[in-house]
Amino acid sequence: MVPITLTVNGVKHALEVEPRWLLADVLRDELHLTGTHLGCEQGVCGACTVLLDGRPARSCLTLAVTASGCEITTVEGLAKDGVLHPVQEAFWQEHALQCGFCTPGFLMTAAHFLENNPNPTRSAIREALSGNLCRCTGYQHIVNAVERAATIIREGDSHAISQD
Amino acid sequence: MKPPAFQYYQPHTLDEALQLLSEHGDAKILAGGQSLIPMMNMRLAHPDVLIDINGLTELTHIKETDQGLAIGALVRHYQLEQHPLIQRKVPLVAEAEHLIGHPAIRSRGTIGGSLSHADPAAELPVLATLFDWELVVSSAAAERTIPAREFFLSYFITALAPDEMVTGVRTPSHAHAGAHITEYAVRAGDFALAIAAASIVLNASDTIQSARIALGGVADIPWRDPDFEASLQGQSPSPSLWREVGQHIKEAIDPTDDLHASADYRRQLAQTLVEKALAGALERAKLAEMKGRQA
Amino acid sequence: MAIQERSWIGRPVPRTEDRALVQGLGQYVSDINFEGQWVMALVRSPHAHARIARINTEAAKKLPGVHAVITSQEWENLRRPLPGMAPIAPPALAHDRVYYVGEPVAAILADNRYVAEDAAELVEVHYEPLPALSNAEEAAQDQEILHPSLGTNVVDRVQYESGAGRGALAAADHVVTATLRLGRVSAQPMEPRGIAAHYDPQNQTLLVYHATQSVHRAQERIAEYLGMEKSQVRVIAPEVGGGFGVKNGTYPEEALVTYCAVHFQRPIKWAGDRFEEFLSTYQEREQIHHVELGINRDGTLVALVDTYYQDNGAYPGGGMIVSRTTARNLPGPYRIPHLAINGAAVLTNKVPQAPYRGAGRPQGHYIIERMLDRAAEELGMDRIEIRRKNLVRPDELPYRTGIPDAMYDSGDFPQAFQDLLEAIDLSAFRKRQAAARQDGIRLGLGVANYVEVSAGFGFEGVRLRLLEDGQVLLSTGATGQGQGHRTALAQIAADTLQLPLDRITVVEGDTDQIQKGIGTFGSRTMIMAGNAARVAGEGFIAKAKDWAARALEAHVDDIIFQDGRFSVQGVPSVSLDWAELARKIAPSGEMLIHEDYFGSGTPTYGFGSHGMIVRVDERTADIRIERYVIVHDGGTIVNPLLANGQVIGGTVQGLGSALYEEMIYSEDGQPLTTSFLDYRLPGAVESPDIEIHHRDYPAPSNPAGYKGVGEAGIIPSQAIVLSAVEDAFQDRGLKLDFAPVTPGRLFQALEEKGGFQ
Repeated sequence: MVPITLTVNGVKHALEVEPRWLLADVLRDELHLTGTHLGCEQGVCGACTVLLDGRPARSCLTLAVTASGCEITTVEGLAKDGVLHPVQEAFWQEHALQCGFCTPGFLMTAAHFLENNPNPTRSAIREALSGNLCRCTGYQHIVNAVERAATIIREGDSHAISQD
Repeated sequence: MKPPAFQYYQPHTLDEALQLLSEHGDAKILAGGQSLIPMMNMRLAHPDVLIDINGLTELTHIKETDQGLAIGALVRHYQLEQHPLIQRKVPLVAEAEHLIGHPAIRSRGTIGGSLSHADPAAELPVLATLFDWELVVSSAAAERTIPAREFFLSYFITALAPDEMVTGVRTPSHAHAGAHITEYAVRAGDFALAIAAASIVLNASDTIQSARIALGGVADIPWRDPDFEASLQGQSPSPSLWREVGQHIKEAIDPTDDLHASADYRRQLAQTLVEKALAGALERAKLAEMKGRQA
Repeated sequence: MAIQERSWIGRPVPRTEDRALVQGLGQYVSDINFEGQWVMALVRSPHAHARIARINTEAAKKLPGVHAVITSQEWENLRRPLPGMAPIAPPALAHDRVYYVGEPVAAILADNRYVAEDAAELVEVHYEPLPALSNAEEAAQDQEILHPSLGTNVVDRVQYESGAGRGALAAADHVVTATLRLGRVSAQPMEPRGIAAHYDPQNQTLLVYHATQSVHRAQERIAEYLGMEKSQVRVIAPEVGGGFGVKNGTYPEEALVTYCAVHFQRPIKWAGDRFEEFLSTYQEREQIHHVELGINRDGTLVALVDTYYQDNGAYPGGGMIVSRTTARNLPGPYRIPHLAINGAAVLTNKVPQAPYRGAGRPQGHYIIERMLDRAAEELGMDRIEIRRKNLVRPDELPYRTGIPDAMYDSGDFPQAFQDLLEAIDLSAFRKRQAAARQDGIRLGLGVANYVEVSAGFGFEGVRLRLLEDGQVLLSTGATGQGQGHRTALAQIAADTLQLPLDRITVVEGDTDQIQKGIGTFGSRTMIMAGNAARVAGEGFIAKAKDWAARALEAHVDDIIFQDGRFSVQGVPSVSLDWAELARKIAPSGEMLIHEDYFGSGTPTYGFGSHGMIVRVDERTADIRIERYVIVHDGGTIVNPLLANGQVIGGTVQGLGSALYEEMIYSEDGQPLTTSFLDYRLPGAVESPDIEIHHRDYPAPSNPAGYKGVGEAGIIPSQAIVLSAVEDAFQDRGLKLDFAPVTPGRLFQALEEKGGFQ
């Protein structure tokens, strides 16, 4: 076991881990943040995507020891003070999820994408989401949701919409 | 799908890493982990020792040199995609990055890792071959450089000795040439069935001063034939020349059948992509030449 | 409390379940951990067919963190056949023979999955490989019989004949023949299968968290296997991350986890991973059809004769349903007076088949739609025309297809097809197609019509309970996997009970919450549980009136229920709403509960037409979807947002099995596509935006008029893609006879027509 520190959703954690433990497993089993899902453990499906120092990364392909000292954001860290993040709000309103298993990965990918692409085209959105697999929705409503989230962010009225 | 246990080291300096590598002949270097960790999760790789080099800040540089650029092995794909020096000096590298995996893969994967993995169907080995990159390779005892065309030996096999690792890449600038890369992948971000990259420098008379062509996915290493390239010198570029080149390459390569593409299909893809890459390179070569004349 | 002004039915309400899910707060089986649990990993057969000589578990047992290594060599109890799979069922763990790559041979119980997988690598199994059967048509010859007790590899035959059967071919002007194939596909829900069980020795009860589509069927199987009473076993389906049919059957892991939980009196959890999902979760679609279609010169269909073989894998799974449903779907929405269908489900050394979304519907439609294209070519007739000519007309409804008990009852098939063609603007497309071809661009149009036969057996129930705060708790045995039942059923109940949506909480998939249930599969839940919600609601109101009568000191016959309030006839000023009624009931210590069931033996018949335009690159064999249009009948739609989600999701899933997805096996039965890299699900870039035009005809066979919508999208997808790609190369006479048409396959087919020109 080796000591590491992880700052997850703004909270610093000191942990003892086996070097082989995947970041996803440490988030899920040690920190009980089970919103990060394991879909393939091979880096293809994107369900385990988290933000690692602000960039999307596969937590199934990252050892927790490697991530020691890093800032990590998981799906549990998207909403602030009970107010949903615009991508969360938009996924909900646009019916962009069915079983919900892939959703956290899509949300993390989309949230990061919109930070740098405030007014994306549908094809740019599809491109940005190409590393996340969904088996339920056929993606169309997800693309709708990312478009809607972009609008919410641009118009800066996420708070007005979120408080229902 | 959980990785097997290993002895883990997290060196803080390159010297320390190389020392560890010399002590553990069976060690694996962990950089971005985007190829190694999946292999371990599937238990197709059982390294006894893992040397995690993610902390080696001395391998994260992108620097201008007399010849071109020096790029540290730990530079990640997204940095290659976005860094101004890369965009200016080796623009095709930045462009090729869009074809590599997905945003989350590009966040972590590194140039050194991609080259060391030596997948002949990956983009960076093709570019390394096209532009004759030199790989800087270090062991505790010495540092040497290996030209890309001598580095890749076969599928996933390189000229690295067990105690050596890639620490960086030296790449000549190709900003003066027109270059293009194109590939065919079934889905966005998939491993390509075939890749073609080309680079053209024109003479003032608009004939070909030099042309280079490299392919991925059609052999056990990235494919290139400098003798054939030499035969293009002095010729006038045209769609019909590109068709001849495509036809030649289709016959020159010797791809194998696999699950997703037959050898014949790969030949046709190679032919098609080479024509496209050359046409794209020519467009840019004309622009480069015009700029050169203006300057 | 505001009373809604209009019906909740038909409103695109965002789902009540999503607030938690978008925050990562959904609890799936893999998220549930019991104190002191052991986790399970399995040693699976690497051989498609082999004798097990011996197993050495010593090294694995010695590994620290390992609690048990279980084989059926040592544990004879685990050799018993699993329940719920006839006529032949596998044991929980193979003991003398393995029949497919992925079959469980040993189970490891350990502290965590890392250690369990370490131990699995240490188990030495000595196999003596046997020749494997990997071709269903050959296996049907019974040269070698996999399970001698059955006496044959043909585990099921389906035979239907109508009219003059095969004899009618002689009277047709033309007989078009073809051999058509469908590749094997895998459902691959994003959440792999999983199950966790906790035994309480004091009360002798077993609590099971199960990623299943049917908690009651699982409860029955588990109780039977463990020799317990059903009342001792509680099965809960927490969030289930997609099912698509494959989380509905008998699996060895269910038996192993529950058996070990009782035996060791320890919580046991198995959270399957993606590799296991490829190796052990049941697969589907693989069939080969030899078809003869009799047709008259004017395009009138005369007779369909089809002999087919379904590669059912090593055990029945639920594959017989697939084979039978295939037969029933062969006529599609077309008038075919004479049928002769002869199908065989054949055992081979592959993963067993079980229903996957569509479950025979796509196969049946693939055959008839492909044959119509072939017939049109043979007659020199337009592909559109031949369909128009043979679609069942509304004046023919109710229409018997010739398959026993199949009677189309509603809608207007030709009008839907016409609406589709208008939406696509057929003549404009043909012009664009011709112009594009001049520029070397190949566009193709595919069309297909379908009937979605849903439900038609059994029942489903709903239990309503008034909580003390006036909320209503609705429980059902229909166990969703993302369909949005918690919202849709609440909408139905809200209408009946005249309550706002947020006053109704739906619990699906808990055997403690309702006594009986069948589950969610085959697009049946709105039809069954939806109607049950109405029926139960009415009974609930009747019981509530009793309470209201007492509270208002009136005779129950004088109580009226209006606008969500109970009052005495003629005295509207004194009334109780549900919350007030709940407060009146509370002191009695009694509860207002009503449970009711809806059953029907008549299926619903949704229908529709799909059209797609593809752009094909002749040189790379790349196929891109430019446009996809659907005209869709879903009966009475409860929530259009959810219905469209089902249709779009199903369509894209179908496009996967038409363009990319195939479980490829080597001749010796080795699966070669066991990861998401090799088995390619469609991604966001490949998937089209889909236009849906609703033409909704309420089902005449149930009170609310609901029809199935879950499979509508996937039914025509393979047929339509092949049709579209062929259309792009109509001048070259391209013929496709295998789904999926991957780029590699299209290249090959084009090579046979002379290759790139």
